[in-house]
Amino acid sequence: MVRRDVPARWPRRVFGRGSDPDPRFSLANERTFLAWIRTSLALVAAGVALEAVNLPMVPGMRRAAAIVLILLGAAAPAQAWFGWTRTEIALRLGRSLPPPLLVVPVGAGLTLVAVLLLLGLVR
Amino acid sequence: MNAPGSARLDDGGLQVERTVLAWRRTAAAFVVAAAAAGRFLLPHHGGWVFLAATLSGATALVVVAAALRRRLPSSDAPAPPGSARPSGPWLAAVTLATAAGGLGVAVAVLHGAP
Repeated sequence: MVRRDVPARWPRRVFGRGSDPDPRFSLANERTFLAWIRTSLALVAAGVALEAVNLPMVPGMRRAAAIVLILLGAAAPAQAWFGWTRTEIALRLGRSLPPPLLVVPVGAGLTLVAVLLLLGLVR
Repeated sequence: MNAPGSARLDDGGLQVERTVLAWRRTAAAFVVAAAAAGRFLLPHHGGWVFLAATLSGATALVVVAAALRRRLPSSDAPAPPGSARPSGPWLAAVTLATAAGGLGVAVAVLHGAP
């Protein structure tokens, strides 16, 4: 339920519910948000670097690996934002914390990248 | 007891300090990433790199501004009330700018296909 009596803090979907949790938990949640943002940067940078260093491997596979990395990097900010809002809501309502949704796709994507690189280098 | 909403930081503000440092680390990472993306993409992807570079530069600016906004409280003063409150609009701006930068790089790389 969204409370109407509190002063507007955006997003209301988050701050209009429950009560302020222990500040340490909110700060840790903010740091997790930033960690996902930096993960996004690292994934994009890895994809760009893969194309830039011109590894001696099958070009199609190198390109596919770079595109997987960059697309994962472009998706990571969604995890940063939605993970932050869902966790903050759970903290404010005293509920158990939600699991990070993008962990499995990122893990699977990185495995795929590793396989592509291996195959491309061996051939 | 503490008033509602006041920052009760029993560890002397180390959580705030860690968060401020995380913001600064992220800002530094953005500056490096924007520079690296521009440097490595430029020879390969021509005009499309300007879209990515513009978006990356805008992102770096937003994150640096957000990092500066999260100021470290002076060590001899108690953390001011509300200092631990995350700022939704800033987080949303960083999210959108990062996603835009990532998509810009993706478009640049895809369109630069030989």
